[in-house]
Amino acid sequence: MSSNMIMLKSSDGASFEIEEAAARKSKIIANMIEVECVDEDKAIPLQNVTGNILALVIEYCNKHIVDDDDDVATEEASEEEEEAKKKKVDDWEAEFMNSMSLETMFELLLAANYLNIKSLIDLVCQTIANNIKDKTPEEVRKIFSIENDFTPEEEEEIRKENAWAFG
Amino acid sequence: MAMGSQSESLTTDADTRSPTRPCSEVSNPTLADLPICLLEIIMSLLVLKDNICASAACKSWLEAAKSVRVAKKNPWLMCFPNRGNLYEFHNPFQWKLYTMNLPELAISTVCYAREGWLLAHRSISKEIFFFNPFSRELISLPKFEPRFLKFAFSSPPTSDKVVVLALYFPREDIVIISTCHPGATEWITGNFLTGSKPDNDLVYVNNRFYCFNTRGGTLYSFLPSPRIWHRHTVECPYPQPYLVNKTVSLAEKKGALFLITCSNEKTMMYKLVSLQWKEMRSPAIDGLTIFVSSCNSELRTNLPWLKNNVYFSRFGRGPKHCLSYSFDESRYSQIMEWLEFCPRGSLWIDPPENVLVDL
Repeated sequence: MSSNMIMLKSSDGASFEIEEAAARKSKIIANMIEVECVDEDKAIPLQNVTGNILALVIEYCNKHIVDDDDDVATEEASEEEEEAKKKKVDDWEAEFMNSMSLETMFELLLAANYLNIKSLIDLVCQTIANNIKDKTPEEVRKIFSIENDFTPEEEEEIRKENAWAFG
Repeated sequence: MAMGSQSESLTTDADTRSPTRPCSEVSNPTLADLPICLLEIIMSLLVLKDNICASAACKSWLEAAKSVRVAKKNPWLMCFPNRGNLYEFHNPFQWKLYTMNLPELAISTVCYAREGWLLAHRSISKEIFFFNPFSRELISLPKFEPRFLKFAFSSPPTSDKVVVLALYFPREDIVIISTCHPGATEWITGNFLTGSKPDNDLVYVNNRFYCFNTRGGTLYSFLPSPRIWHRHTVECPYPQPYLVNKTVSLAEKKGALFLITCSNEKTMMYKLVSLQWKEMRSPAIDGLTIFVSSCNSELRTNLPWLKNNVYFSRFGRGPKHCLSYSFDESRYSQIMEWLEFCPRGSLWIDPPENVLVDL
């Protein structure tokens, strides 16, 4: 194994090799590297993340570590270039999020939270928020399989309080 | 570096992990199972309307949605339609537009706003009424004399101390003042002598309605009880003769009276201290945010991300940005090419309670 590669192991036993720089996107793993808890020969076990979700996390980290390198190299980049680059990342993120089901999205969000990868938390939360946008409470419940635990009186009170928003 | 318990669990030797460890918690999660801190992030990304709709889904969502609605809110810009009853509400800092059909305001003129309430009148039918566009409450007042031109009120109509004021100048040196309140049967009217004709918006502070004559730089006030019209001996803060391309507004905050003057070069702000207009310079603006329109002005001290700025009720470049002036940089958000900073047809209004901040 190259010295700047580390191994991650998912809860279902799958192993993944990842560049240290990419893995550092996770504050938890970065902390472990700082305090030299990472044994070169052993994989870091991630007990709350399954293999299919860990693969997505790694795909995201790899993509964004490249972008961070670009930032350093092109510090003097013009506004247009910056915009073009930002658009490229935005497009990639949109495609990345588009490719997964809502269930996968929740698992990815929990994994990002567990691994403490802020930009991934923001991305998934924004995607979920986009799914809530312009929906009625009934539609929101249906999309996200949420059980309505309000009494009819409680729900009526919420609707009355802000009647304008339910128009 | 201190390691959290979460990190320690990561360092457990992989070989000791039981292969049959249950992981049902993560295999089929639903959004309702998300930790509240994650739900809060999601709710904070929604504009107010969506936040409210989402809050009606279930109890845990209600809790998360409410927790990100905070008291720090900027006023919204309410724009009146040229015809029809579709009113636009812009939150210029969230780049969000709400359109509301308000037939209650049909063929009326909105003449004042304060604390989320509008005062509107219809000259032909002589009706005048309070209206809250968010709760849709309407509170009527006795019919008024349509010759009155300037209006103001002291507090929300639901307060028992509210005074509604209407002014009219039959001559340059005479002011006719009418006052009223909800539940009254008629307006009480009286004539008063005045030196000149105030021309800007009225502001209620310390039991008085203040107004200002831009040309002469004279400050007047009306004390509703006992009824006294008073000319204040306060020297005009800006050099005479008065320049035409100047917009002057009065505003109040915490019992203090402020004067904001805007010319194409700069915006100045003065505070009335011991009968003198004291110029406020950055950083002595005290982190204030000022919102100016042709019929009201709002001052805020709790919007740190917008501090030391004046926002005008005029859209600048692109429909979403309001023209603004920064006291820190002593400049406008864009080159000034117009004479009117605050065109008629819009005003600043407090958004409904429970508004969330743009995080």
